[in-house]
Amino acid sequence: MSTKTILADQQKTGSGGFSWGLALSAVSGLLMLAALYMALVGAPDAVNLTSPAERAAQRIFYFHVPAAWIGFLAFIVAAGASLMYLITRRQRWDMWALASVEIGVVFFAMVMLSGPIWAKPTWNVWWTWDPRLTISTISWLLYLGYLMLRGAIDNPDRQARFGAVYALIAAISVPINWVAIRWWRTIHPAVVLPGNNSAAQGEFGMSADIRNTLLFCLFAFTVFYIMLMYHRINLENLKRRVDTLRQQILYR
Amino acid sequence: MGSLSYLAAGYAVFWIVSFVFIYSLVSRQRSLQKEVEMLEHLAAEEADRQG
Amino acid sequence: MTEQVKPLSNTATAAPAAPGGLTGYFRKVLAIVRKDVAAEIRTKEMISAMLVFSLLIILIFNFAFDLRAENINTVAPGVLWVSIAFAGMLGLSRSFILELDRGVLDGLLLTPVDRSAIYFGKMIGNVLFISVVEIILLPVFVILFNQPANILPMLAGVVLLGTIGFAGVGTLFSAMAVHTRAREVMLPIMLFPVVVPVMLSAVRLTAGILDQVPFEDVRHWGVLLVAFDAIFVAASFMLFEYVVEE
Repeated sequence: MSTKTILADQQKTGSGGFSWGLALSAVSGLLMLAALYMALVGAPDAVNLTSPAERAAQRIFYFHVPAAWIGFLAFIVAAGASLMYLITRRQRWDMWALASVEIGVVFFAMVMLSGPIWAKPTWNVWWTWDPRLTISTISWLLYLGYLMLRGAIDNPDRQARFGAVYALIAAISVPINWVAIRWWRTIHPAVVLPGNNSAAQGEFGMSADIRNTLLFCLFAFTVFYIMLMYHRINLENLKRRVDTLRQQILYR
Repeated sequence: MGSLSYLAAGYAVFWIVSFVFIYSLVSRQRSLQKEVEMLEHLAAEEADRQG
Repeated sequence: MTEQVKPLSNTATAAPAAPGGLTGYFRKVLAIVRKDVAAEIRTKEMISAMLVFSLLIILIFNFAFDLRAENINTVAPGVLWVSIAFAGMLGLSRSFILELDRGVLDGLLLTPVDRSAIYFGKMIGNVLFISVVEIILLPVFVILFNQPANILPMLAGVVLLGTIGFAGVGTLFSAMAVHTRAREVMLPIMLFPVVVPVMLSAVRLTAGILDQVPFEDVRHWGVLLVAFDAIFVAASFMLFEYVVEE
């Protein structure tokens, strides 16, 4: 493929127009602010909670849970894109995979940081080996492994190929990990968690209002993810164009 | 910690992480943009010289 | 590792060019295994390194945790499996490095057989090497942790299943890791999160054996371990060709 066609191809799949990116960012920003309002003010207090700190901290759940769901969504997208890349070898799929993994790292980081902050006033421990938190941590490490693997390879074709293979193995391992960790926690419930449910963080009973707020926040986060993907993929397009240009110039 | 501090800290996490990431996107974009302009300029020069 | 070992005289290519077919495939796999085994028998570097490393780990645990008689059964399974995991990691990472350095891999890739045969050959070789270490490690474990000797057969079974799990994905990953900048570090980083189910199941099963728990209670862990092995060996086998295509 001549350099000219590569550049043209990249430009086609790239920025669809300045206004789309801006519009997406604006919409996403507004939705997130709305979600913030709903979570902090709109939603009612949860019942069955004892202290005011616990009641307040419970609201972290409205952002913490969607962040985890989107993290896993990003994983699925990355796995799908990786599969498509191995089949078609089109660069665009590799860009989708890389972008999704990077964004997934970001979302899981949010989960792992907000988790302890919620846990401390609620269960009086910073870290619980709760199945969901544990699987999020492992998934985060898997993502990080993907980024490190790509970072340690110079050859771009190999980067893409190996990344894709790794992403697929990682994707298969998540459900199996989930089962294993679930069983592990069920057998040792009292060891780390002082008292109750390892499974149901929604122990505070999901009324319709709470569920609706959660769903709205999930929607806001999904749009947020799409917006980040849009910008990250554009960035990747730009980067590859730079690499191609650099090659073209230096190796004349 | 006061009853609202955990809540504040919890949400701060989301906003701080988001802004750090978005900032990294923006700054990477900026430096790549600069590099593209420079490279395209160089490529044009070279094409002129050869043409 | 810097010792230049002459590649074996064409064991890989000397086999009569069977035009594919199942026998050709198996012959190919066996050839690869035989080559690796013969090379290792000559130097014994890898196995001795793995063995010493695993014993050292058990020793370190002894000093790090106060292993007195009462609580020994709680920590014993963990100690065993950490030891196997790290020693196994060592063995896995070396297997492709040697290939690459000796330039033998290219020769293998030229032969007209499914790339996946290379995967099986390397994987079986890895399982064999790690098993040799384990054959020595397990009796040592039984002695140091004061276990009855009759647990050895069951323990060996669990250890074998765990090893297959490690080597299954480990072989695929080490083929990738060998092309990266920080080879030895890359493999553990990639592999450990993926093999968590193996660690969990193996430790639970080992604990069950040590505590003489009825099989029914830990059966699900056995199922998980076998399922993991099957799924990941299959997946690795399918994805291997994408890693070694050049």
